[in-house]
Amino acid sequence: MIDILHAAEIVFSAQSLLMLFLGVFAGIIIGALPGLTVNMGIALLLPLTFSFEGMAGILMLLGVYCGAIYGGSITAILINTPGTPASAATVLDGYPMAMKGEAGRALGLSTGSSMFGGLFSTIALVLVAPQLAKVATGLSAPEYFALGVFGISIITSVSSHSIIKGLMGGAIGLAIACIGLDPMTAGMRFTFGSYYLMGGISFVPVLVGLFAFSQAMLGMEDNYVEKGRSEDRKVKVKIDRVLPSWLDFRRVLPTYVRSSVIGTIIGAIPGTGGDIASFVSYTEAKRWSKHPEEFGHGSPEGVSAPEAGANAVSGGAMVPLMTLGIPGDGATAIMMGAFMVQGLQLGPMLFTEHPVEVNTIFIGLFAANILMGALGFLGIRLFTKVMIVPRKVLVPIILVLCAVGSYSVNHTMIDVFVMMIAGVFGYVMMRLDFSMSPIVIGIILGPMVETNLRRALIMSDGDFSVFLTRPICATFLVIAAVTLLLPVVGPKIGAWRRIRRAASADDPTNSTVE
Amino acid sequence: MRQSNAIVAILSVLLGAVILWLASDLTHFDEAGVPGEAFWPSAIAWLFIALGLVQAAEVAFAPSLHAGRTVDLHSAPVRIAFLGAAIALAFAVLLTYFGFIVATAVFVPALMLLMGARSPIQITLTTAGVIAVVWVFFVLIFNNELPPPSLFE
Repeated sequence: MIDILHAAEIVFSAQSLLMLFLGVFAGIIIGALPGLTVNMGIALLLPLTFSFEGMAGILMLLGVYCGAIYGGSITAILINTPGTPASAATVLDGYPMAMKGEAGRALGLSTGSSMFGGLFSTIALVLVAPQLAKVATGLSAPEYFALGVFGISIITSVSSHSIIKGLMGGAIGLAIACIGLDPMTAGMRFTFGSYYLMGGISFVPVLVGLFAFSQAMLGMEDNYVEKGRSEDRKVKVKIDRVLPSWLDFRRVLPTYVRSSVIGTIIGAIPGTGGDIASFVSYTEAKRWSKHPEEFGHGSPEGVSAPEAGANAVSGGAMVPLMTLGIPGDGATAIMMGAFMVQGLQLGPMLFTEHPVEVNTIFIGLFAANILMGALGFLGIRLFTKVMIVPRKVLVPIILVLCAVGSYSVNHTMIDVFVMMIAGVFGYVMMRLDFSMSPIVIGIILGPMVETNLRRALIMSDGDFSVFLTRPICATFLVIAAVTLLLPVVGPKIGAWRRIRRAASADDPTNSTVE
Repeated sequence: MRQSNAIVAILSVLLGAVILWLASDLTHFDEAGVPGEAFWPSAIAWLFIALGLVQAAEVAFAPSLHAGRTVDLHSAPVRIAFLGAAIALAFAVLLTYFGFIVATAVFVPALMLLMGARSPIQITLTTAGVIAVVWVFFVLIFNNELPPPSLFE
C-alpha cells in the first residue's frame, strides 16, 4: 500500500503531470500527422527523458505511446487518411460519418472508445502482470535465454515484406549489440582501439536515426511527390458537438467492452499490434452488430470498435514487456530501451526490486489515458489545425530535434554523426524492403540473450542439453521455433489445403446425388 | 528487386565472413568448454551467411516471389531525400564548429529551400521559431546542453 501511495505521489507531482501532459499532447500531434509514426514519436522524444530525474521521462514516453495511437484516428475520420496503421480500420466508417456531417460525433466516439480501451487494458495489466511476474520469478539463466530467443523470434511477425530480410535486420541488431566490452569478461570486441566504441554504439542515436531521421527522408520524398500541397490535408468538414450523447454511449458500450478485451489479448501476444487489434475488433463488431448493414456507411460501432481495440493494445503490450522483458513490437522495444537507460531492467525481478516504479507505470498509464481523453474532447479543433502543417516546415524541425536529441544523450557530436549514418542506412534499407523494428529488437535483446546463454553454459559446464532438459526453457524454445516458422510454413500449409479442397471439389467421385 | 536481392544476399555473406575474420583472434571456448568472447559474434556471423545463402536461393529458384516489385534508389524524389541528408550532414559539421544557433540558422532555410519553400516570411519565422523553441525547452526548461561552438572555445 505504501508503494502505491508513493507511486501516486510521484505521478501526481507537478513535474510528472506536466511531462504526462506534454507526452500525450506531442503523441496526439505525432499520431495526427500522416507520415509520423508512434515509433518515431517515442524515438524522437526519448533523448529528452534523460534530462529528468526519476520516472518523469518514462511517464512522458507512456503519454506519447497512448496519445500517438489515438491521434491517428483524427486524420482517419476527417481526411480519409489514417495517421497510424492502427487507424486504418477507423477510416472505413469514420470518414463516411464525417461526410454525412457527423464529424464531431465520429471524433467523440473515437475519443471515448480510445480512452475506454486504454483504461480497460490498464486494469487488465494491473490485475495480470503481478501474478505473471510471481510465476516468472523462479526463472534462471537458461529460461531467460529462452525468453530472449522467443522475443527475437517475433521478428518474423514484425517484418513487413520479407521474413529473410527481417531476420537479417535482427542479425544486424545483434551484431551492433556485440560491439564494445564483452558482457561477461569485459574484454574488448570490435572496438578498433576507439574509446567511443568501448562503450558500445550508443543505442539512442541509432534508434533516433532508424526511426526519425529515415522518416524525415521519406517526408522529403513525399513532399517532392505531392509538390508541397498541404492543402490536400485541409479539413473540409464542420466539427460540431464532440462529446458523445447518452444514446450513442449506451449503443456502443458493448462494442467498447468487446473490442477492449480483443485489443488487450492481442496486445499481450508479442509480434502483434494495434493494426491487427483494430481490424479484428472491427470484424467482430460487425459480426455482433444488430445493424451490420450500416458498416462501411458510417456506423457508430464501426468507429468505436477499431479505436477501442487499438488503444487497448497499450496495456496488453506492457504485460509481456514488464513481466518477461519481451517487447511485442517496435514501439515497446524502444520503450524497453528507455527503461534500460533509466536503470530499470524489465522482467519478473522488476516487481520485487522496483515496486514503486511498477506502480508508477500503472498509475501513469491510467493518468495518460484520462489525459488523452480530456485532451481529445477539449482540443480536437487545435489538433485538426496541426494536421495541415506543411512537410517543408515539419521535416527541418524533425531533423533539428534528431540532432539535438542525439547530442543531449552523451554530449558528444559523434552521436549526432552515428544518428545520421543510422538514418541514411535505415532509409536505404526501407527502400530494399527491410523493417526497422527487427534491428531494434536485436539491439535490445542481444546482450540479454548472449549473457544468459553463456551463464547457462557456465552453470552446466558447457553442456548444451541444459536448454532442453528444463521444461520452461524447452517450452519457450519450442514456442520460439513455432513463432519463427509459422509465417513461413503457415501460408504454404494454407495453400496446400486450398489446393486439396479444390481438387476434392473437382473430383466427380466425391460428388453426391441429392 | 531481383538484382537488389542478389546484392543483399552477397552483402550478408560478406558481412558474416568479415565478422568471422574479426572474431578470429578472440576466445571461442575456454578450457572448461564454456563459450568465450568470440562465440556469440561467430554465431551471428554464421546466421548472416546462412540467411545470405537462403536469400540467394530465393533469388535463383523463386523469382516470382518479388515479381513486379522494383527498388527505387535513383528517382528524383529519392535524390532529393539524399540531398537533404547531405545537407543534414553539413548541418552536423556546422554544429560541431559553430554551435546550435548559427548551424540551425543556416540549416533550416537551406532545407526549406530544397523542399520548395519560397516565402521569406515563412522561412524566417520557421527558423526563428525552431531555434527559440528548442532553446527554451532544452536549456531553460529541461536544463540540458546544446552543442557549443568548438571553434570559439
